[in-house]
Amino acid sequence: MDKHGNSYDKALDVFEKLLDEPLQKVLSGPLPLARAVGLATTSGYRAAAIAESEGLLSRSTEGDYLRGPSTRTIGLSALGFGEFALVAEPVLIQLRQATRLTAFLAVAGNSQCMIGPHSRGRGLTFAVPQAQYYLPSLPVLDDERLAEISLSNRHEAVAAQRAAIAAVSEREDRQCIVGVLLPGLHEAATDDLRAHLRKASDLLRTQSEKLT
Amino acid sequence: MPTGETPRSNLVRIARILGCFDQVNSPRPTHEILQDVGMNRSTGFGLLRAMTLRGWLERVDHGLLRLGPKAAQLAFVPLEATENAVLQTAAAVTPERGSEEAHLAVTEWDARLFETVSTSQYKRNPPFRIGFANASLSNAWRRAMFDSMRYAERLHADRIDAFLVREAGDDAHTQIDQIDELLDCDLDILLVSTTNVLSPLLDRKLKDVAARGIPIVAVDRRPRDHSSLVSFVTASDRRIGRISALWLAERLKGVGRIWMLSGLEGTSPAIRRQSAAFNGFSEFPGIQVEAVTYTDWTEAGGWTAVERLIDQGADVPDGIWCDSGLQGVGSLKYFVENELAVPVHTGGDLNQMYKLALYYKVPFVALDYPAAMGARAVEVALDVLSGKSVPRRVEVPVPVVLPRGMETASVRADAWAERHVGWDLPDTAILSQGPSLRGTRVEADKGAGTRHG
Repeated sequence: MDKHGNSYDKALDVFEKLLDEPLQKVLSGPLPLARAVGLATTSGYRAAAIAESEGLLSRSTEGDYLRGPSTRTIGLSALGFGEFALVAEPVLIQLRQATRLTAFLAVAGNSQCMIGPHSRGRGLTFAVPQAQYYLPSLPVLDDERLAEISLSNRHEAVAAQRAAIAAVSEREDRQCIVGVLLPGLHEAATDDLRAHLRKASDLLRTQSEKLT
Repeated sequence: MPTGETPRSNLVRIARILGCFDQVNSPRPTHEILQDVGMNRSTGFGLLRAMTLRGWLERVDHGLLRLGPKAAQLAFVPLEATENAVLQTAAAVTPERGSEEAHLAVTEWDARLFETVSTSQYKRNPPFRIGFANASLSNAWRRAMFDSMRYAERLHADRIDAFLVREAGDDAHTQIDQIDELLDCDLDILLVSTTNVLSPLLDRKLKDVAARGIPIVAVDRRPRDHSSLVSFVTASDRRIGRISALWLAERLKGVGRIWMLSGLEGTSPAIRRQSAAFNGFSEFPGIQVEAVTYTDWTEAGGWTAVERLIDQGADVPDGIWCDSGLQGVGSLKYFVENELAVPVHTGGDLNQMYKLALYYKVPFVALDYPAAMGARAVEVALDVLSGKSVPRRVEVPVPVVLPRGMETASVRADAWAERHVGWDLPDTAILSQGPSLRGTRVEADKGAGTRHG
């Protein structure tokens, strides 16, 4: 491999670790991030600053690193629904505040449900979603374009999570959905919850239409 | 290419390659991608090949690439920093399941947050010249907001040619003159935090600026007539008022006497917080608001307000509602120094409020008005000048901060006060300032030098 090849691989290694480590642990500053990524202090500071200025990372008021707004745009664009990147944040935070359940945007298709941006629930209803679930077929929607679905890990027959969802958009063989993780596997969505999901879906659709 | 310069770091190149695809991931010719990102063929093809091998890109046809399966995994983004440990502990102290239903009433959908603005007409090539007409630096919060802006300015130094600042000492006429001074400096965009919401002259001046094709982003305080603004970066005063009142009422089990200590009379944040708190208290028939007073958002104001009520013969109340810790510290100190039982309190922002409340074990809730909105305003300004769509109104989140064990049926912690407090920081520190609070070094890609007016 030529020297460029090596430098590209090293850069991609750093890039991948920078974006993955904040998902694994709380990193409250450039130094912990540099250590987690395996970089020397100066290089780590520099890499963290570049990632933040490019929107790949952002920081909470506590200084903790999070994946940034650019990752949301890149990821949703790769899934074919990039138009929802800008409005996802206020919609999901309000959906979480209204329901106190973990609220998410996801793309279903190819027997998978890829979870996108999400706002985690609080208290008893706390649930951290996985990045990906097995979903053998697209959700069957009712008259209000809502559904309740079971999400399972690959090769496991038992559901790992149950979610109430609303359809937002369809493209080819994929469906963009907004949803909340239900607190138990046997819970059903209440009327209030269904109303909030309809509202979230409508807002996402309306605003993304304006953007496109 | 997106920002007009040649990126010197492979990290920047990777980010910009991934960012150059459209919303539906249409395939693009490799030469077009390299042109967009500003890379030559010899180095560019090698990087594209490496990214394709790892699944960041995928080849769909001869010479055509699009985002690959690994890029799709970047969609998995937690929107807020919430620690597992925090939330699991929260679950353990949750009172009973039935109370979960109460949360559904906590918020209503705020349609203002979903309006977006196209800014393609403002697109320029970097580096940019940004002007900031600041109302004042008259209190700790305003200084913190400005520090937060400086952090963002340093972070994006490669895209900012000049960050010119004027500070008007809270005088509208001075601010109007200073906006003229800034306009003489050939600005690409104006950031403004207005001195006075009711000044028609300021309204007119900002309309003139907008009519000249210069985009305006307001931060923290906006003019009454906001038609001149592209975007407004703020936080929800209503949330601060409502959640703090709800927590206080639930903490008192719906029964008790309350004194309300607002900030500066006639200012919009004070009005909105107080009004939302009144609405919150009105849902609890057993809560009696005995006094409403103003404190100018100062420690002395908080002390004097409580002293006056006690001197008038009032009994110590069950709860003191403060719309900020800026006056909350004065109230709390009054009770401590006079050896009176300290009532339940509300009010965040100031580090000393957290220190005192935790030290004296006073039950309290805090919702910090986020000074980090300064950095967010700079980022919105850069997005506008890059021609990206931006939200018409950007609300920086206001987390609920509680000491452990102080959650109620409806109000749960986003952060624990024990972790939020800065024992090593000055009493005057504003904790919602974000990463700039602890003097983080910034070593972004050094581009054109930044000058300050």
